[in-house]
Amino acid sequence: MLSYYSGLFSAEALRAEGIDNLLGGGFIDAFWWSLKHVLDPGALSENYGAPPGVIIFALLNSIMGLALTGGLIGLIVNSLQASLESAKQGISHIDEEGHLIILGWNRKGPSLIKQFFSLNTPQRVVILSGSSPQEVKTILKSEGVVRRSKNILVLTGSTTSTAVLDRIGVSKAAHIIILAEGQGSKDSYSDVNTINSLMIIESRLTARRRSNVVAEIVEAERLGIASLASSSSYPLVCTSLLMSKTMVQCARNPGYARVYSELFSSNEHCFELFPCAKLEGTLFSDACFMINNATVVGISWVKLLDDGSSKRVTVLNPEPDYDLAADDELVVINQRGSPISVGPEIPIGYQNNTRQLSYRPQISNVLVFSSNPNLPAIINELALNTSSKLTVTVASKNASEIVSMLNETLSMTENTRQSLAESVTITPLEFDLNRRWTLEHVELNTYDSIFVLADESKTGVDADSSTAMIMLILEDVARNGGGLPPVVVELLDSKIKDVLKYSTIIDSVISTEFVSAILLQVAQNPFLESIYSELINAGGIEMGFRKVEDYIPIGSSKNYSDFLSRAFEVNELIIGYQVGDGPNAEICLNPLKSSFPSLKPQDKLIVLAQQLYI
Amino acid sequence: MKKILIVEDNEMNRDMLSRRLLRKGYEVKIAVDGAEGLLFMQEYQPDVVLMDMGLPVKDGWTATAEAKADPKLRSIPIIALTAHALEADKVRALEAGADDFDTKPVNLASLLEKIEAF
Repeated sequence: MLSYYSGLFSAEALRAEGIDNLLGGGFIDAFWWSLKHVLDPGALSENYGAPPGVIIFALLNSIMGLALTGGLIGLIVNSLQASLESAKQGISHIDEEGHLIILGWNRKGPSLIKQFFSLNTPQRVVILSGSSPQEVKTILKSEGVVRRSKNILVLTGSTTSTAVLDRIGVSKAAHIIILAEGQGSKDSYSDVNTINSLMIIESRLTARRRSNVVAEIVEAERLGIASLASSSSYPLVCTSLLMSKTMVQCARNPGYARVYSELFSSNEHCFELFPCAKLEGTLFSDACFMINNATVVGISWVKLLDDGSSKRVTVLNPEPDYDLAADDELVVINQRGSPISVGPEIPIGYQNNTRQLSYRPQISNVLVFSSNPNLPAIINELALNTSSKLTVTVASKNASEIVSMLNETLSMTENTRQSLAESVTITPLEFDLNRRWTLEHVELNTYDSIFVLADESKTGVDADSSTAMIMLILEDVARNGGGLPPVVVELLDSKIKDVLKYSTIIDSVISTEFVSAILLQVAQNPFLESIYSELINAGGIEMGFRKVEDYIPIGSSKNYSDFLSRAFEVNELIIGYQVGDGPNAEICLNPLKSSFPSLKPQDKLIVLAQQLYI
Repeated sequence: MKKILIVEDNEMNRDMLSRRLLRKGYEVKIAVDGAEGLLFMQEYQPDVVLMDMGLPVKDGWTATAEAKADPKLRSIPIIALTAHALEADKVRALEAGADDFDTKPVNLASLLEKIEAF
């Protein structure tokens, strides 16, 4: 308005391009002129030829406009930044549905996410942990998880806070995986947080909307409490049990790790349920022949419990004479995404229980290098799998200290038959990577098996590097002193496997990948938990290798039905075969029945067998 | 129809066996260890007990021997279930007082014959 009094609409001013008096040169024209300068700084140039007073006011208006616009932009940027910061800290609401939530962070995280993305699902991943988002993102980048990084939202916050869990949408997530927060050494992991998270999630999920929840529990003794916390509603994967059982199975059956890796970690095969209402009354053995393009390994049904709830029951390798019920479903190993076809019923001939193939690899004397939280569980598992007294030698820098701790733990542990302390003798062997001579007087081939564990507790020493060093020393000692028994190695990073290519290691289990694969698969299909736990438990069902001639005499007919009939006679199921022997052997699971290969004497059948109780 | 008590610690085995027996019309009760087996024998008074031998808390041999020593339980027939190849277990089971035995994995037709014999 001040410009009006400075001659805004004088004859001199009206010569300027940007000054108009279309509405009589009053308040509205003056207001329009001012507003134009506030909103558009370029309008200043249109005042060329206007009186100096008008130009001064035009300049002031433009500067005021710039200040206002700048302020507005600042306000928007600040509020956006604040929202992002809140999101990162888990204090803003995440408007997401059907997503995967990972609560907690440890070394399995990157592998878990890599495997999730390899399934090509469009779901987004929300990671909530105590670690800083920058730290997690850096780890993900260094592990090569960049391709779909836009699908990952990394937040920092408490995994045991109801408010935070609500904000990240636990009640709307498709899958929730709870990782144990920690860095590897025994006391760094926190099962307590996991149990708290389970309790909160259990209270947040309604009967109408149930996410698939799976939790990693580090120590076996906490499984009971964790199960109570989740009202036994969710599968729990116990890292120490899973790793110890798998490693012991690998020691008992050299070559196992590759079968496990193919079966559990590969994207090619998966366990599926196949409804078989149309097969009601069919014998299980006949159904195995009738399913053309998948390998039948068991049956599953939903059992009604006394309290009115229901529970899925899965039985692997049932008796061949089991007649299928209408509500049974077949458990099959199938090629991922491939439809299952049922052929006509072909009556097969087998005589039940004519001979039991009794393979009971006995491991009673083992040497263990390094120590980690899985060691007590490994000793327990070895004791369960042997009928004689078990001798364990622990080779480590502080072996005596470790052995006294182990003895203390074992004295409090009982397996099904007796106190572990009575059936196990543990002796220390002081061993230092810098003093390989400590092994020179040790006759390695007197042990039934050697375990090399990943020890993450040493600061500044990478666990896998230590393992590689131990392998070098072992091979060197063995070269001069009569060979090595089966060696089972726990690795944390698959890349180290390339470094160990030269080695004659029998089996290596990459714990981070293995555990994360199981966690992910169980989160997607909770029924898999019972399959996995049954496959690795002592007693019950186990995978095994069989010589071809144990099944069919060399030279006789060897089509798939001959092998399968023979398998039923000894209560076993064929799930695949191994061509060749040693590190270069090829594993084939879920083989094509129509073109079952001609197996040679050195080849082996991979079977599901009834493991004998000891 | 007969009331059967299955004493078995392996969840998969007991689920499978109980399902097969239920479908044949039997009434089934389950105990997960030897001590619970003895307790349920008293409470439930089954017509037949199918007793696994390798049980936690109290093994099948001890539970069988204790049942046969108890005047209230001794008349309940016990069929010991032993692993196929463990011949010594069968002998021990009969010595402990089991009335019969069968092998695991179960051949249902053979087991039903034995159940019906009592």
